[in-house]
Amino acid sequence: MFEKKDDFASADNHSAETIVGSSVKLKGNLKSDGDININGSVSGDIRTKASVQIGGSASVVASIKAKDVYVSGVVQGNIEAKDTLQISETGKVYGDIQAGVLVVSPGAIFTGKCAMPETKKEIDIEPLMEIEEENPEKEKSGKK
Amino acid sequence: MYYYILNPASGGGRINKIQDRLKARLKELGIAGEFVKSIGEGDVTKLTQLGIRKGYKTIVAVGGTGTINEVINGIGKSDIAVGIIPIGRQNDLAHSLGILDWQTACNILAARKIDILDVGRVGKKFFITSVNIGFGAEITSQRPQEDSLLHKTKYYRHAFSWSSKFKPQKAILNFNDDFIAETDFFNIQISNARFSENQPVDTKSNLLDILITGKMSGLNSLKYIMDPEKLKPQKRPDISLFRAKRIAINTQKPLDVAIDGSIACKTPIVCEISKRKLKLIVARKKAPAKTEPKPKTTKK
Repeated sequence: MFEKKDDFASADNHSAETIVGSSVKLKGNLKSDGDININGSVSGDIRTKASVQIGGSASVVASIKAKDVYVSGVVQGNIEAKDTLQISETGKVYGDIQAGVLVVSPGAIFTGKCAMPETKKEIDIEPLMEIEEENPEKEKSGKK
Repeated sequence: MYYYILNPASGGGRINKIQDRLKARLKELGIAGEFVKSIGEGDVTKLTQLGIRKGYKTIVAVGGTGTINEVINGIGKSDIAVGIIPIGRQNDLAHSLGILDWQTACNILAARKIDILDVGRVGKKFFITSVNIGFGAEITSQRPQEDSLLHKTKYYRHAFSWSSKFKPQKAILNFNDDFIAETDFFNIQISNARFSENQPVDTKSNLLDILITGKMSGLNSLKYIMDPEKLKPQKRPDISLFRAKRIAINTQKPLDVAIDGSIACKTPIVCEISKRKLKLIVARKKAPAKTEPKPKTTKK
């Protein structure tokens, strides 16, 4: 009951190459080769080959493109996650999303379109069984 | 032949106590050379330029980080190698390169393994470790001139009290002209090497590491004063970390800027990785210990 709720930005910080602290307001194109953790305010574009974590106190007005994206704060913009997109119970996403795997926790808010690209698979559908209908009038005439 | 520049002021005059032993050890190792002493601020840079004019190919800074910084700023475009014998109060660079004390330094000089390191630049001033603006620069100017326990205690007490009164300053930072950050900060540290417990020092990344610290509690401020590495950025939400080749910093009012441990100028500044690289004599990396097979014992 009193367990600490998931806050993605406070977890796994040790591997982040870029951390936007809670007192920072950032404008522009944020590019990195490593993980990006955001606890402050960002407007613009966010691009990385690794993961993006949006902390509970973060406010992001930007398009995000990354391998994995974890949202605990507010994002106004489109998100494209090559692998995984997770929206936690405190996360709010207003924009279109695209992800390989989508995880939305109870309480999360998402308003937008969602696309989950997958490879086309051929589905075999067995033909329906043919059932001959019984004609009561024919049977009666036959019997006579 | 080696050109040794001794800074008598480093380490509270420690060189005077070890000078004879140092010279004897260097002679034993076959790397004796010319010894010169600086007499005041800026003198190490002039002596470096003199050593280059004399034709020396290796210049050794005998002192702390400040002494090394002056040597780097005296090299110019010459292709000489720089060695370090650490005897100053601040030996962060030497220690991070495995040069722990003057005895180790002598062996490292004799082995002469050279590594190429990035050099940072703030205007016309070069730096090898870090630039600090804010609390870091303020405590740099208050650093005790002597190394005694009394002076250190006074310094820490003053710094602790000062840190609780320090008001966060406003700054605007422009990273590579790609993005701009606006923030209130307690300290901005621009480093030539990645400072992370889990990663080795990386002074060849061609990138600056920028650490912006928000307001800290008195206890964390004390940890920061005693050892900045103890303040783990990974667990505090009011810390920001960036990497960039170039950063322009503007503050609401001009603030002191400390470069490699000495106040050098005021904001606004532009800090970037220089095209110039530094040839530095460093410790060899230890090879993994080979476990020898245990000898077989025959039972009687």
